[in-house]
Amino acid sequence: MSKYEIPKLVHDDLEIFKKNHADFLAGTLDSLTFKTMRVPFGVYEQREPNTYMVRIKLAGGAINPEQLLGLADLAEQYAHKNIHITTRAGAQLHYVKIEDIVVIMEKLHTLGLSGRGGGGNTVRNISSDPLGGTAKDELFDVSPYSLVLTSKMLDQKDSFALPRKFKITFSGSSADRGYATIHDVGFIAKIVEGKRGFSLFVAGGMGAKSRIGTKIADFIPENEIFLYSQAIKQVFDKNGNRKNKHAARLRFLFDELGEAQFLTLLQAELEAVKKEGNWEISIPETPTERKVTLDKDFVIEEKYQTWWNRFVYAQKQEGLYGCKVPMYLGDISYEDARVLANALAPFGEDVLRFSADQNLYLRNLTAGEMVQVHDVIQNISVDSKRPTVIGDMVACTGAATCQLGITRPRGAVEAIQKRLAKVVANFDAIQGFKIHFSGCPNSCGKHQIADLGFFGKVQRNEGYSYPAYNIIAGSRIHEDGSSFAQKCGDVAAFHVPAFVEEVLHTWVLHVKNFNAFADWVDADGRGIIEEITKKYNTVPSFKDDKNPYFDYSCDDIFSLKGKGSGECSAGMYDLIEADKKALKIALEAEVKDFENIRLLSARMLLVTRGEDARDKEGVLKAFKKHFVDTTLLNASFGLPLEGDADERSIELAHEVIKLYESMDNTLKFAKEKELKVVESKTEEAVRFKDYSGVACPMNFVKTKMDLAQMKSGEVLEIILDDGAPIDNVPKSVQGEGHTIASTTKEGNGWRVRIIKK
Amino acid sequence: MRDFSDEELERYSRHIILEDVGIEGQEKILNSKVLIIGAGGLGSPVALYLAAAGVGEIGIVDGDVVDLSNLQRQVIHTTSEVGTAKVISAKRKMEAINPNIKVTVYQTMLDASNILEIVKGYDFIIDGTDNFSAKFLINDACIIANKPYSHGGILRFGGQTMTIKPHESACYACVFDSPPPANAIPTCSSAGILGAVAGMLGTIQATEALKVIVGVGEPLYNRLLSFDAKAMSFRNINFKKNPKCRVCGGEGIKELRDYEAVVCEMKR
Repeated sequence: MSKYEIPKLVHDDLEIFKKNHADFLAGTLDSLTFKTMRVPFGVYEQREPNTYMVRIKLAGGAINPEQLLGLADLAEQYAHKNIHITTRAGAQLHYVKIEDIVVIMEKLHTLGLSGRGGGGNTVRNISSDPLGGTAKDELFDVSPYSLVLTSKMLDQKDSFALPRKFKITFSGSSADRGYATIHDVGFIAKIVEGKRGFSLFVAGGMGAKSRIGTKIADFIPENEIFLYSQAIKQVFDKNGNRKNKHAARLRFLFDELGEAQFLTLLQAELEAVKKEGNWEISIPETPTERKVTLDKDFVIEEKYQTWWNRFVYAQKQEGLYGCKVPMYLGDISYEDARVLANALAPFGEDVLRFSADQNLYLRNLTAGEMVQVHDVIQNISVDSKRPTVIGDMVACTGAATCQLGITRPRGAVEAIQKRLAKVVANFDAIQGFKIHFSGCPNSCGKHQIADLGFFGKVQRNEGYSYPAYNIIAGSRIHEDGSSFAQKCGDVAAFHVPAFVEEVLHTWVLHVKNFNAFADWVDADGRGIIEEITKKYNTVPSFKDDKNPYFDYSCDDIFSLKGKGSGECSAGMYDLIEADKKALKIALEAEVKDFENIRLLSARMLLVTRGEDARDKEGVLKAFKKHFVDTTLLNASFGLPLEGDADERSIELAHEVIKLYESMDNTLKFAKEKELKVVESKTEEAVRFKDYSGVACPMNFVKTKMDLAQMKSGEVLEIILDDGAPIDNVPKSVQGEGHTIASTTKEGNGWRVRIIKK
Repeated sequence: MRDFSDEELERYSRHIILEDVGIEGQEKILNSKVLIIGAGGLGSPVALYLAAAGVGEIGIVDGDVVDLSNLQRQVIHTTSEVGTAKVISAKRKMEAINPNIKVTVYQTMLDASNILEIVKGYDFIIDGTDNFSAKFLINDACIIANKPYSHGGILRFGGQTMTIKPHESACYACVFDSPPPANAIPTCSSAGILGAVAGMLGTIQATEALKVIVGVGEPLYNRLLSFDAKAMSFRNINFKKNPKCRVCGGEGIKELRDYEAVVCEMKR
C-alpha cells in the first residue's frame, strides 16, 4: 500500500464542486461563495488576482514514480513549470488558470491523489517522519498509518468544515522527526509489551500563540488512531471558536478549556465515536521490504564521497540506503521531476518521499543504485553539491504570492546562498543546521523550529518602510521536551546575508563544545546572537541608499499595498457579513425589494448549517428546513416564505439578524440550547383548544391563560384561523419565550403546537 | 391559579397581552388592595384607573363634599354631585366602570388616631392629599405599618412624586425631614393649579401602584420625579435612604402624632 484511498464522499464533493465551478465561470456564482468552496479543495487564489494554485495531499509525503510523472504532466500542461514541495510534505501547482481547475482535480483522482482538505478549515495533509520505514532509530514504520488515517479522514464529512485547520502527524521515534509535539494531533510510535501503539500529543502548533503539544496519553493501541483523531476532531468541531479565526486552532480551545475539561469532553466524544462504530482501523501492512543481495565489496568512489557523507544515510535494512535531495526552495521543475521519476521507477514504488522541510528523500536503494542516480540528483539539485546548511534552508513564498506575506523570504534565501557561495568556511562541521524563513508571523516557513529562524516585519526609517526580520534561535524538537526558538532581536532584510554569515562563522567556532545549537543558545549563544543583530538592524537614509528599501527579487519599493486578508479560513463569516450588509442596504432602501430582502434573509445564515443553496427556491427550502422547522424561528415565519414576497419579509429580516446576534463562537444560537432541553420533554399535548372564530387579540389572551395553567415543557395545541390570527399569535407566543413546535394547516385554519417555556 | 371568566379575559385582555403582566400579573392586580387618601385632583385619576385595572379592593378616604371649584380638575366628580360626599361620588364612578371590584369608603379626615387602623388593611397606599401635615402623617403611618406607598404633590404647572418602600428606600422624611413653616409654601387654593397637571401626576401614581403590585419595572424608589409642565420637562432626583432619618432611620418613630395644619388659611 503506497496510496491513500479516495472515498466516494470526495468523488461526490468533486461533482458538486464541478457544478459550482461551472456556475462561477458562467458568472452565476459570486467569487466569495466560490472561494469558500474552492479553498477546502486546496485551490487558493495567489496574490496576483486571477492566478491560482492547487495544493495536493501526499499522506506522509509518499509519492510513487508514476504519481510524480503525473504531476509533472499537470505542471507542464496547466501550471508553472515547477512542482512545489509544501511544508506539509504535500505538492503544489502554481499559476493555474481557474478554467483548468476541474480538469486538474480529475486527473489527480486518476493518480490516486486529491486536493480535498488541501486548504481551508479542514483536516490537512497528514504528515509523517520522512525517514519512516528506513530510520535506524524508529520503532516501526509509521508511514502506513498516515495513509490509512488519511483515507479514513477523507471519508468524514466533518473533516471539511471545522472551526480552523486541523493537522495530524506521525513520528517513528522520540527524535520526533514528524514534529508530533507541535501538531494539533501528534502520534509518536511506541511498543508496549510487544504491541504497537503511540503516545499522543495534542494542541501543539505554530503561529500566533505558538504552543508545544501536551501529551495526553502515553500509549494508545495502533487500532485506535482513528478513534482518537476523530474524537479530538469532534471536540474541536463542537467547541472551537468559529467567530475569530485568529484564535481558532485547537491549541486556543485547549487552553481555554483547560486540560481536565478537554479530557472530559474527549472522553464523551470517544464514547460517541465508539457508539457510531467502524472506528477501528485495519492495521496497515508494513510494506514488503526490498530483497536485495548485499554487495559487501561495493566501494564508494572518491568523487562521490563528499556528497555521500553529506546526504546519504544507511537505512535500518542492511544494504539499503536513503538519500536526502535538497530542492532549492522546494521547487522541482516538471522536466527534472520526469527525469527523477524515470530514474527511480525500476527500483519499485516506495522509493521517494516529499518532506516537510521541502526536500526530496530517496529511499530503499542499494549503494550501487544510489550511485547510479547520483548524476540525476546532481542535475536536479544544485544544493546537493553544497554543505547541507544551504539546501536545508526553508522559506515560505511570502509576499511574492501570499496575500498575508509581508516580506519575500525566497529572495532572502537566494541572497544568502549567493553570499555563502563566496565564503570559505567549514560548514560541514555544522551539518544539519536549519535556517527557516516566514514572510509574516504565521509559521508557514516554520521559523519557530529552526536553529536560526526569521519572520518578516516592517520597520520604518525617516518615514520610509523597509523590509526586516525578527530573529529567533535555538529550537529543540524531541518527545521529551520540544521548545521553540527564542527571540534574539531583529535585522533589516537587506543585511540578512551578512548576518547569517556572521552567525554561522561564530557557531562553527563553538560547535565542538556543544551537542546542539540550542545548547549553545541556552549557554551564551543567545547573547552573542543578540549582539550580532544590533550590527544589522539599521539601514542608511533613503536619500543615501535606496537598496535597503527594496525587498529581494522585487522591482518595486517595499510596501504593504495589495496585502489582503488570508484566504485560508475564508469563508463563512465573510459570506454572512456580505449578505447582512446587502440585507441592511435593502432594508434601508426607499422602495423595498421584498423578494430580495426575503432571499438575503433566508440565505444569510444557511452557511452555518452547511447549506450552500444559492438559487431562490433552494434557499427558501433550506431556510425553512433549518430555521423554521427546527423552531429556531417562529414557525409562522414559514408563511412569508411561500408565494411572492411581501412586507412580512422585513420582519423576517429583523428576526434573522436578531438570531445571528445570538450566535456564539461555535455557531450555536442561544435558542438551540433551550431547544435541547425542551426536546427531551416533548410529549403528547396536555391541552387542546380550538380558537377558530376567536379574533385577535382574544385568541392570544386565551392562549396565555392556557399556558399560565400549564407546567414548563408541557405542550399546548390550539387551532387558529388563517390570516391575522396565524400571522400574529404564534409570533406573540414565541415573543414571550415559549416555543412554537409546529404550525400545520388544518382545514381552513392552523394547528399550532406550543411548548411552554 | 384563578380561573378567569371570559368576561374578565376580555375586560383585562390588553393587560394580559402585555408580556410583563400576563395572566399572572392580572391575577395579582385582582387580588390586590389599595387605599387612596384624598378623592381630589390626584385621587380622581388614581381611583378611576385602579378601578378600571381591576384592583380587587379599593379604599377611598376623604371628609369633604364636592365643591364647584373642584370640578376643574377632580374629574371623578360631576356637576350634579356638587354637595355630595366626595367618597360617595367617587365610589359611584368606580363601580360604574368596574362592577367586579369592592370599594370601601371612609368619609373622614385622617389623623394620628385613626390612620393606622385604616391603612393596615391595604397593600399599597396612595397619598393624594393637599397639605403637608397629612403628607407627613401618611409617611409616618406607612413606615410604622410597613406599607409601600406613593407620595404625590402638585402646584401650578408642576408636580413631584416618589414611591416609598418602608425601611428599604428613602422615605418622604429622608428627603424633606419635616413640614415647612406655615404659609411658607402656597397651596393649590392660594396659588392655583392647571387641572390637567393633576391628571398627569395622578396617573403616574396609579402606574406606580400597578407596577409595585405586579412586580414589574423600577418603581420610583430612592428618586423623586419632578416635572414642569410649562417646559414639559421631567427630571429624576436621586436620593439615598438617610440612616439618621427621623422617621425611618435608626430607632425611627414608634408613635404617631399630628403635624400642625399648615395649609390653607384662606376660606375655601
